[in-house]
Amino acid sequence: MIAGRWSIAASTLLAITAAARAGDGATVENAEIVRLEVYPPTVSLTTVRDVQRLIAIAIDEAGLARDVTGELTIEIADPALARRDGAMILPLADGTTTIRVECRGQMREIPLTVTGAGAERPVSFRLDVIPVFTGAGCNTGGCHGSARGQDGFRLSLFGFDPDGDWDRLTHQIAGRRIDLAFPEASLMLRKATGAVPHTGGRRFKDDSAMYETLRRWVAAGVPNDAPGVARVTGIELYPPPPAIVLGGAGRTLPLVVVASYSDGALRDVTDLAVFRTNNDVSVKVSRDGVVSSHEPGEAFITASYDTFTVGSPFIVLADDSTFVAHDPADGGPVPASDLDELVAAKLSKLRINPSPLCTDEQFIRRVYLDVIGLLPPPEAREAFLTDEAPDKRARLVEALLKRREFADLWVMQWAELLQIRSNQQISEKAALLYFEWVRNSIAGNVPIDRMVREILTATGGTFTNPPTNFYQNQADTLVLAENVAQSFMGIRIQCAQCHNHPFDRWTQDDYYGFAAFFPQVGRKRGEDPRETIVFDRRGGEVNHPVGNRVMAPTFLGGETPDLRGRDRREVIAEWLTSKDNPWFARSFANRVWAHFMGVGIVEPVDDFRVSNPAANDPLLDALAAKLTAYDYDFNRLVYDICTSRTYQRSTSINESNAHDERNFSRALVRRLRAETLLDIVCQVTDAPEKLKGLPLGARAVQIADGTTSNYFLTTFGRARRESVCACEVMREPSLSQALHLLNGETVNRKITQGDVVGQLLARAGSPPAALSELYVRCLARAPTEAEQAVLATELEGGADPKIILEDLFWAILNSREFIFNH
Amino acid sequence: MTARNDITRWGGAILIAIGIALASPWASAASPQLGLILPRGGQRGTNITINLHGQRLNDALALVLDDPGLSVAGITVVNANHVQATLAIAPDCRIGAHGLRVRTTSGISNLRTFSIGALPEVNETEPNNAMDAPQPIEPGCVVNGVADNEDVDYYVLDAKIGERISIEIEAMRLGDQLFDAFIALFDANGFEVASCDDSALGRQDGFISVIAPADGRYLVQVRESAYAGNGNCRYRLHVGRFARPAALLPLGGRPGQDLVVRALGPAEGAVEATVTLPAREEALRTIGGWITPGTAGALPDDGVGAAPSPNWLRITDLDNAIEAEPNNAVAQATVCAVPVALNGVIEQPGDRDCWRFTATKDQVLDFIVLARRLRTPLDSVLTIHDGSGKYLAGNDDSDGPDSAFRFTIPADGEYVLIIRDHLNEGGPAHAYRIEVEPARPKLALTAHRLVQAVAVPRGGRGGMLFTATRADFGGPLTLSAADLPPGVTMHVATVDPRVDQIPVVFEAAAEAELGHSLADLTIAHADAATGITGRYRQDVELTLGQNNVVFMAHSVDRFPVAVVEAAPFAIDVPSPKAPLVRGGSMQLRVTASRAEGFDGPINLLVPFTPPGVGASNSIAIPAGQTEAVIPINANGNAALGTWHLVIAAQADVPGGGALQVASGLVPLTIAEPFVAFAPQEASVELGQAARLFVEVTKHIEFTGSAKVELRGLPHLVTAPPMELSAEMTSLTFDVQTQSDSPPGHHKNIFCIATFDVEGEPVVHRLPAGDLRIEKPLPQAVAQAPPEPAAPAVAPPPQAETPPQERPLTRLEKLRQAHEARRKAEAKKEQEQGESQGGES
Repeated sequence: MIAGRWSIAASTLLAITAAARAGDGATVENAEIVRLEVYPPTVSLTTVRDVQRLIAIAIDEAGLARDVTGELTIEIADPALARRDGAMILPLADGTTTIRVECRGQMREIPLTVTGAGAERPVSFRLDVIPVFTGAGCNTGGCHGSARGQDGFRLSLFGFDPDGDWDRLTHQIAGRRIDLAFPEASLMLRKATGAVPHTGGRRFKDDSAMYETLRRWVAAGVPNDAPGVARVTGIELYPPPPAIVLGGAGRTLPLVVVASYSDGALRDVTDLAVFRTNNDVSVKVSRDGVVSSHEPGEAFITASYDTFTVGSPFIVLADDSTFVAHDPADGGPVPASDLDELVAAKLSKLRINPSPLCTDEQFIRRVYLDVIGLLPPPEAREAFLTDEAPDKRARLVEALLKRREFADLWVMQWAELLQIRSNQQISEKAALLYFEWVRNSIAGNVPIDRMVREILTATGGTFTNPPTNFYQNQADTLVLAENVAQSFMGIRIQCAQCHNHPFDRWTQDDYYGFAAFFPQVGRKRGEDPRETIVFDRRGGEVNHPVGNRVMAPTFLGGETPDLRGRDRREVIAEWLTSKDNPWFARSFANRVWAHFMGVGIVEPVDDFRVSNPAANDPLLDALAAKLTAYDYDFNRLVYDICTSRTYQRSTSINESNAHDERNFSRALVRRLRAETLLDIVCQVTDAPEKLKGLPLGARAVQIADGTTSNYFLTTFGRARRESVCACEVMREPSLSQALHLLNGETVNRKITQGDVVGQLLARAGSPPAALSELYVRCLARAPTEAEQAVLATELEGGADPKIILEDLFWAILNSREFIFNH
Repeated sequence: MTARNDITRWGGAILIAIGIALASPWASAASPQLGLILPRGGQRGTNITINLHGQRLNDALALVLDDPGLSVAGITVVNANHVQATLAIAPDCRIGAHGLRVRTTSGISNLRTFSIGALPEVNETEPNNAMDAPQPIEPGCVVNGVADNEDVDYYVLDAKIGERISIEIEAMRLGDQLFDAFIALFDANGFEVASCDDSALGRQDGFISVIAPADGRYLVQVRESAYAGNGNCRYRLHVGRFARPAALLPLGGRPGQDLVVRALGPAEGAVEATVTLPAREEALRTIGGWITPGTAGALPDDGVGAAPSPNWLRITDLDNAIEAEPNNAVAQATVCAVPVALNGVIEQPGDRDCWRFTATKDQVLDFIVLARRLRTPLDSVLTIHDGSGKYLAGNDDSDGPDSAFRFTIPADGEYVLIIRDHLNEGGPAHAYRIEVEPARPKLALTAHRLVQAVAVPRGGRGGMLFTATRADFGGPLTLSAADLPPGVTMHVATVDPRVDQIPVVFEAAAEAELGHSLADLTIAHADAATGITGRYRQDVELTLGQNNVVFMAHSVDRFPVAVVEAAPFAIDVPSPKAPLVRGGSMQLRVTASRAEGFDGPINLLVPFTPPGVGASNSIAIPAGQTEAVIPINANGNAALGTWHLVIAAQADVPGGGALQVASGLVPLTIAEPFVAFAPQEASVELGQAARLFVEVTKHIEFTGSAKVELRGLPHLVTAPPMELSAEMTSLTFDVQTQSDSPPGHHKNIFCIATFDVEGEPVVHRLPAGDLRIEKPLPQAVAQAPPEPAAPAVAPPPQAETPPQERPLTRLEKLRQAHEARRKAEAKKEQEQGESQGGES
């Protein structure tokens, strides 16, 4: 049966390789191999059943990868120990030797260890059977992994509860689901092969390895694993990062997944792993782990096995060898920073050239809106444009960073992150005090790590010590832990509450171990009924839902700390904000970057996971390193970002970057946030808005209480602060937004209310001059001749210039140019 | 606490009445309502005109005041919603909040407060919203201001270095609005010197007391803490050099004692003062505000001036012990002897105080912390340990933030008490008092949370429901009143040990003068030898938050009784001669007498019923009529004995508002039922007749006969009533069903048995058993043709005629059917066996 399984796989491979050859033609075939990569780097075979496939990738001068597995000459140094069947290595006898692999003059040696070659490996329920259910998709949420099972048969989702699965398999519908006397007659097998009607259809054939595993397990008497059976400690996906570059469509490349076990064994689990791609337009991956290239672009291929998910990036280039890397900003006033270089490195790999720098006119509007959320006043614009100094952009950034409005913008984002809002439980006073605390912290330049520590360890009354509101906002221990992970580390661990995370590394043990930092948060009503007092109860545990065992507080993906005599929250706060925490700085750096670039390096900004990789890992690392080096003073990070070429690129596109929105080769056109849009409408119309709880003229970004809103803000997608999710802020344009601007009362009322047109006419003297001022005021640019001509045409009609100008003002406020940052 | 949770109908009725205000030419309105008093306070030693706004005040006669230092120099009715009065405030008038009500010819209003201060009064002048354009004030004044929505008020004063600047706001404490004020003090450069949002002493009202760090101008900021003020958010801002201790040490003493206290607080030196504590009876009257029972306010004055509101001291018959630091460790515990009142301060964060005492086995001791209740910042946690420090028991928040527990001493020996702050905080004013004494009975009396005064019509009656709170004893209680207005008498029965609600009737003679008094009510154990007594005490709610949480109240210890003009109606309830039996019901007859011209409907309420007894509160004597009956029901566990009810009658009077009068005390006896019924379940096929059999047991001898009716029969099922005479031991009802009666198991059938006692009905509700109505079995229908007449029709008529044996229960019928079937089968088998046998 083994031979059968492998020969099928091998023949598929050969067929694909042959096809690739035929398609590639002579050029690739004969291209010089610069580097030969053979995977896995070591081979370890345990028991007679073990088999390891080898793959070989050739990298040519252009950095393009090609599958050369079929061309390999494989030789085992001691042929008594193992044999090969195509690219498969099979055990013969115990011992250590090497495998010599050669391809067109390039040679590699791979160490080989064979142990227990004479022994049969018994079927393990956890190591063999459950992986079949996962690999065949039986225990997914849509099938038997659903909480109520499917068609009377339930498996735990992705196998999080092996004992429960064993029990249900072996003790339910005795004699039918499992037939010990005639294993092949077991309903489990007959359903899976489609021999009897099965809602899920045929999952595998009766000559497949999966079938054979299950059959052997039944034949062996459906044993459950003895305690202490080896567990999977990790998996490797080959080829590993950095990205493999495929030159054009139609290329294929095999993957290999090797699992390592706690007993030191390694196993080829390629057939059992689940492969996924995050962009199947560019790269598809087959169930047996062969990637194939299609449209130019990037894709991240992940392989999941057991509770582990790992991934490798793949790039597909257009069939174009004429690409020459070129930065139009070279030689200009803005020097390339280290960040720019990291962006350029990625772009050159993708054969993308960036756009040129934006004009000073564009820059001042963009940086004003991004840094302080307001439009540049005409005088400031004038001064900037006439300034001849080469470093004027940097100086402008520096000046804006000192403005109070800069802090306001970030206070708002913190308020969203911390869900500052009043409700039945939280008084307006508590919400305001919490907001004021954030504002004072940010205005006082309190480093964000200290802020987060103060929040997480907050003790006392929600009035007397406002960060305690963090615990008042969310009283559910599990949700609290989820919020901490998502807000401060950008990690969504929610899935792992009910099952091991399917696309990420988080297991239920991770989830409940992390949640165990928070069950001891005590809350009691203050003497003022609106106040809650938060304290350390010094008691309370989190129990694992499977088996109900008490979970020791464990850092996410980390150790179990010593908590004796300490408030658990202090310990988690220290770990979370420490410079060694791999997520904290990256998560915040990513949020800051996303604010200025319109898209995060990881996007969404609060969804860091294996299967959602960073668009540019070195760039994110560099930003995070800066943030920690600056002692979490993010003003300096903002300065670095805003003075980079990457931030200052134009939104114009060139041939190579037209489709790129994730690699920062150009600036993105971004709709303004609801609050900023309302603020600048008020700014240009001189008509302040009255918001509840704020004095007249206060800006929408200063709203303390998340429940405060108005029609305009709601329509434009202001965050309601009901969850920590960054997705609460809606930036998608909608019909109701357009209609509100067109027909709603906000714009029209404000135009009349502020009478800006009247004042401009009086001051500028002539309608054309007034129009120019209007354009500068709203769009930070002078009107074009065509735009001036519209005014002239209208004036010829003899209408009141003021009415015409007000109409034009209205038109400008409705223009995309006004409501977008570009 | 019981009073607050116990919403009786009396309170509810008054609430309903509030909405009714009609403009009418009639002279007097009822239920006067007092709303806003302006200004909100005045300086003592002055005469001041105050404006009292409200509803139905057009016949205002007098103000009900609580302090001899306040008197009315004149009262003028401006209109029904506005009365002006001139208050004469004596120079020695008590500082702080004073309760005030308006008495009219027809009623007495709710209570509002008026604040008396020592400093001259100033008004806020807008605009004063900008930091650079504040309103100048002289230190040593009270500013009367308003914190509007998003309003920020600034005041400026001068101070010399080393001078004390004390600022205290009265906002929530004025009892007008849920107004949480914030105050801050800035120096001339706009830097904050101090700010205060809330304080333990003033709850939501803060205070600042600092030593000026430099010569110059100082700005005072006032606003609502969330900028959510409104035009009704009035405040009184006391600004001066006065002493403003945050707490005193010790926190109490014996009645009448000259107590040396030390003022605690950041801006106080070690100021000591001697305070003469009032005798217990006067404790409440001498202070104002929302206070803890048995406490008095003290205003220590260090010569510069006394604070505008008092610090609180507890007055009990316990000796004081004062902590001696260091006492943070068990080994360093301050030694004391119980019973005792322990006084100390948790001075620094992390501080704790240990006390050591000796106790004997089985002593039951109460450990009660008074800290936040005396308005100090400490949130106590109190624990008791054995002599070596091993934890035995403890408590955090039994009494609000204050700790309390009872502990039975397990063995002779030494014990250690440890007190600390819940969050391990501490400070110069984190003072506490722990009262340790043997558990003893406690008794208190309160009124309903919504009604705390009674208006008694001349020649008529007014009713009131009080609540007694007993702790650690049981037994009957008596209620007595002193200082009632001349011509008013109080009627109240001895309070049964099983209840804590006390219906009371106040009756005024026809010739009684219009007037009022603050009655002194005492509740006591009926056995005077026990020495258990308590006094009336009520926290009159002024400001409520979400879910009716009380934010501000005013404590009083006297009950206002007013004599008002004769009511246009009165009610009488003749004492029922027949008892109300457990499980039975009664119709209580109420008659009304109406003054000429008064025809309106009169609503009747039964504010108090004995345990297990319910009465309808939706009965009215219709317009123009003079009689109504109130249905009263007793459940099977109703408390036996003779009780006293009071019926309240309420009607809208033509002048506007609602007037409430009461009946006299109505004795009501609750007795065991005269008979008991033991029914059997009956079953019947559709369209058939059944017999419902009930066994009768007599509990008491009665003469004559009772009429017994079946009630709750299903639709289209009938049974004629029966007569039950004294000699009968069972009843058999003939129940007739029809072919379309509803089949099923009917469980809601019962008997109403009506006996006669001195011409009054005694209505019993007794069980009648279940009735199963079954669809005929199909076989029976199939078998019907061969034998048409015999089975279906025959038995009932047969059964009807002879003196029937006891009817069969359902079980018995089933058994019989089973037996018959078994016999039939056996017979059949036998026949078959025989026939088979024949074959073989």
